[in-house]
Amino acid sequence: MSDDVKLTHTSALILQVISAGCRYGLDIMQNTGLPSGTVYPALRRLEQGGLVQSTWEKEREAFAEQRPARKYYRLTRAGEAALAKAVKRYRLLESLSIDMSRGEE
Amino acid sequence: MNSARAYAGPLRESRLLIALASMLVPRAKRAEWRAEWNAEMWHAWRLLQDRGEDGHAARRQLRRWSQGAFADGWWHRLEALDRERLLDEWRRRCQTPAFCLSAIGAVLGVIVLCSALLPVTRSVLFPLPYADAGRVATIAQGGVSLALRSGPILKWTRLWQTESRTVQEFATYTWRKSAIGGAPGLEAHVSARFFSLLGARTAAGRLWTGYGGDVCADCAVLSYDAAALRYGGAQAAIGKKIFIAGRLFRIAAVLPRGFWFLSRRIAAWTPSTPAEESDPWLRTGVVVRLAPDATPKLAETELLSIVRRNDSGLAWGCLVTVSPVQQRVRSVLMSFALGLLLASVIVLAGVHLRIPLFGSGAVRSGFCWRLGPFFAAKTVLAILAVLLAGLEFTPASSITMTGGTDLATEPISTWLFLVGCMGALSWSIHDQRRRCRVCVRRLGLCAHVGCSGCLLLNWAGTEMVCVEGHGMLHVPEMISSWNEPERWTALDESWQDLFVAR
Repeated sequence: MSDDVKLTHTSALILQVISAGCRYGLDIMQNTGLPSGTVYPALRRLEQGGLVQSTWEKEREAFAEQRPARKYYRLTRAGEAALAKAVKRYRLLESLSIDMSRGEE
Repeated sequence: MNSARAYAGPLRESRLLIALASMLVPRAKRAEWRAEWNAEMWHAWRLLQDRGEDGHAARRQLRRWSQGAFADGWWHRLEALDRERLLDEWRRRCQTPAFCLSAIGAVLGVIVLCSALLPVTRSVLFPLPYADAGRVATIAQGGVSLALRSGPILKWTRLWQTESRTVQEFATYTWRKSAIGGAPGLEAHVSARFFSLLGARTAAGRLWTGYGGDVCADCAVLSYDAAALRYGGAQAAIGKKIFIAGRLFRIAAVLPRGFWFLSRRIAAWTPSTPAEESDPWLRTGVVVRLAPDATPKLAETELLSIVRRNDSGLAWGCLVTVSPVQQRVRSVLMSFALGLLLASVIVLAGVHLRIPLFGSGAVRSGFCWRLGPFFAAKTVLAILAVLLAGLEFTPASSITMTGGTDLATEPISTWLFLVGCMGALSWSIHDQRRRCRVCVRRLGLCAHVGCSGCLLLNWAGTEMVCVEGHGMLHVPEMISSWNEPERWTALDESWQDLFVAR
């Protein structure tokens, strides 16, 4: 995905919540209100476009907490630039405040 | 949290859904994809439990989240598709003769559906809804040099009624656009014996016969569709009052479904007014029932002799035409046969006179046996599509009876069919010339060769190749006397590697 790509509102919203600290699909769903059938394909697209990067949590850490390891997402530099442009385009994104405690376990 | 709790109940259902959705994901990515979704749903279930949302609502929520796996799976499936290969495959399929025939078949299907299952065509093929329909005919008057026919004047009809022996019964009709129950529609004024002459029956109510003064001046007869549309059925319409062209009528009868005369669009039938009955110069449509032993030709001669004997001034230079309704309605089949005949003549002439109808390769011996049947099937289907479209979508086409219901439609539908036939045939021949002489696929990979401005000492044109590697067609930019119009070059097996590699 090049720099001049125009993100859809959904993609921009997802980037915004990742930027705000939401790191995995369920967290993003919780904070955006988008259904899982939208969030995960959008994450794939964004990852394919180089705007987000995914990493698996270390097995050891997950095992210590007796839970399966999960996949985390974070913004890349291109993603940050694209988000900055998108925020100018979708002015309401700027005022989006995310209650990070909502998705936490 | 123990693992038994983790995979119990709703999570098992969630895992099952994810396992099903994973079938959509390419094998290489499947394991990782499943791991992510299973982990997410595990955490989701735990989140719901921590929130105290255990129970049916929580299960439903988890199921809803899990169902998103199908959308995600589809995304992976579509991503994995090789679009170029698919596009290429689609192009190859478009070139096949089966695709061509299917496409015309689809057009025919659209015509059938859009016309509500070919009502006009069915009326051409099915028996007419009249008693002994073979003896029902219409009479038209024309001049020797006048191609356009019109209804005869009422004065002549009266003469024929009293003197004719070849015609048993006469009835007159006129038609016009009017307001029927407040809505625009077609109304026909018919003489007293109109319905009895046709032997019409009813779906409900009773028709006037005209015998023994059995006519009801303020009665109207509705078509089945008009009654169904306005009153919900035939029986419900009987006895109801309706305004037709500003006059109030009582609905005396409803014609059966499928009954038609003149046009299927006529919604109401009312008796002729006294003014119409008494005007000797009024031109009306005339429908007759011929005597059992009378032929249309015999009737024409007799009717003409009657008017010449009694009204020589007016009858001078006139012709009287008696057209059996059934024959006239089915004349449309003749048009179709004529179209096919024309196509056959052109094809036979092309093959025998070596006119390059199918390109030079086709007239050589040994061309593919499928070329002929494919061309025939394609042409027949295309002409059939033109015919059906003309019949169904021209409001009152040439199959309507003498005079028609709309003077403009008969020539329009005839011209439409003629032009459409020529168009269909031209397209069919053009398409055939651009097909491989061996596998009948449409040629592709067009390449412009030569220099367009160097026609004197060089040649320029377009070359097309069969994607299966059977041959190559050269189409010159300008057909000149020294140049073969189109050249088909068969490619031998040594070329096959090139096409297999492709």
